[in-house]
Amino acid sequence: MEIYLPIAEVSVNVFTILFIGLLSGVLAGIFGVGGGFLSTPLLIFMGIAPQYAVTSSATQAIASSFSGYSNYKRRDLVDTKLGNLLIFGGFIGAFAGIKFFVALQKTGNINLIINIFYIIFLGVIGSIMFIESLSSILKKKKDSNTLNLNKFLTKLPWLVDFPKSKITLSIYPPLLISVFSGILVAIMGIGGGFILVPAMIYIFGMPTTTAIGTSLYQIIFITALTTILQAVKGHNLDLMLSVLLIIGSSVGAQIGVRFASKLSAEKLRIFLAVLLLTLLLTLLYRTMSAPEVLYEVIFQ
Amino acid sequence: MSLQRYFFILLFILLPLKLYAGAIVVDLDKRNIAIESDFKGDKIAVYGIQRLNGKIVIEFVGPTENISVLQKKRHFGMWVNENESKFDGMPFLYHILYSSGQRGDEVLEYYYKLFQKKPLFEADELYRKQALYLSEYMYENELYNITPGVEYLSDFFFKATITIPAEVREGDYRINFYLLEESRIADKISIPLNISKIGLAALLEKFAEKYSLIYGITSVLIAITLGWFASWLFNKR
Repeated sequence: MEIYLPIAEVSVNVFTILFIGLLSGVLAGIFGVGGGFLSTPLLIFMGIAPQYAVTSSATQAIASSFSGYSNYKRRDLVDTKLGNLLIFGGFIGAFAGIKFFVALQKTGNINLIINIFYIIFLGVIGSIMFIESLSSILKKKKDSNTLNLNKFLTKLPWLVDFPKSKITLSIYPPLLISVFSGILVAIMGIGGGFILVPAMIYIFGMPTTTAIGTSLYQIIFITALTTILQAVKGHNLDLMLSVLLIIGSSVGAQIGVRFASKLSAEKLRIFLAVLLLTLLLTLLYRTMSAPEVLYEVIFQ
Repeated sequence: MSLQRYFFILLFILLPLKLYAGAIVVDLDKRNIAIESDFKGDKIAVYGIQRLNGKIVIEFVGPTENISVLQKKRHFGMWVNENESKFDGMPFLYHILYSSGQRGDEVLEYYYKLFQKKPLFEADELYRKQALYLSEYMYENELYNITPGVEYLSDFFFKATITIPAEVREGDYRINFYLLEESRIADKISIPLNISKIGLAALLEKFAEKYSLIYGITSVLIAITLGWFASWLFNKR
């Protein structure tokens, strides 16, 4: 069944979009992430212009993060104080990211830049995850390689206590990381959980569950801001596309949660790593291979 | 009485009176085109008569656009868009229909007169190549076209079919009729044609364009509501 997306100005198959939403929802359910990192490139492969794919994935991330956040909030696993600091940094990043995005749109290279960001992101995260999960399967040992950077962070200026997470750290590292994740949200349409959660666990030394809950809390605000900014400044938000993705991902998340309980953590991670690396190779091929025509027409 | 004469008389009865003043009298079978979710293009039937000697050229022209053509160049293994050439104020759609009996040079001369752009012989090679690619691109997408689409049923009575391609955008278009006599415009009339989207898609687009802030906030609220609903449903089960 074809449906015309009024803002993206393209006809798409409803079930394909629902399936993409479902797939990213399954991942969201398994790994507690937004799933935008998968839906954005898949939508671009389908022929939806990158600016609409990015914005609609960001809107989808609001729904999945809010859904996850309500569960963590109920269990009192959200550090609101640290979350607010991350929101502040994320807002700066998102504003900068949108400005960068709109400027890139004018140069005609937005597609290439999004691809490069994804290639770096998928390459780094995919390889680390693949090596780490493979070695833990082979050695059958627990992954307790926490980088104990928390002591170093207490030596930096402007120390603040975060009682909920039982940590004390300078405000600069969380601010820096959240600015970076805000930029990623604006350019890649991902929630930023992939950056924030590992940073909070390995660098800040937060408990895993509080880190996930706090990350989800922050992502709601950053993706909401990105959605509004993209709607106003870029006119890139296709609500019809977002709603289809949200419906798919809401169902997918439930399947994902059930699926996660049946697989070991290492197997889940290696499965995700293979998926990320496959996406990386496809994107790499598309970016490097010679185009059919050497010119591109852009209607301003 | 021949069939053509019947048609001629019928046309006079059907045509609106205000169009009788000049040397060209035309009527279209529709003045509005609606783009729905399953729009695959459309056709408009045109009938007309002329009161002077000469041949009719029909120009179907759409809203103006600023178009850029970029060249792809390889840097570090990646294809980067650069060397932008701007083609501002170009019509998004430009169709010319002339009659098969017309002299080709007359039509072409007229076509260039109407479609004055930066003369290509003054431009550099890259600009010429990009202009050529743009014209191929527009032609392949049926946005620009020049065809012998005007058919004369008698010396003064003509008909034509205007094709609306599936890629058409909404906006205000014009169908201009020129009566050419030895490359001179003996008479001209212009009829507006509105092409617009209808239904839910049109509503959403207008909302997004006119009230972008409210549209953005509404989208966020919808996303939060759907997220909350999914969480509620999941916990209920």
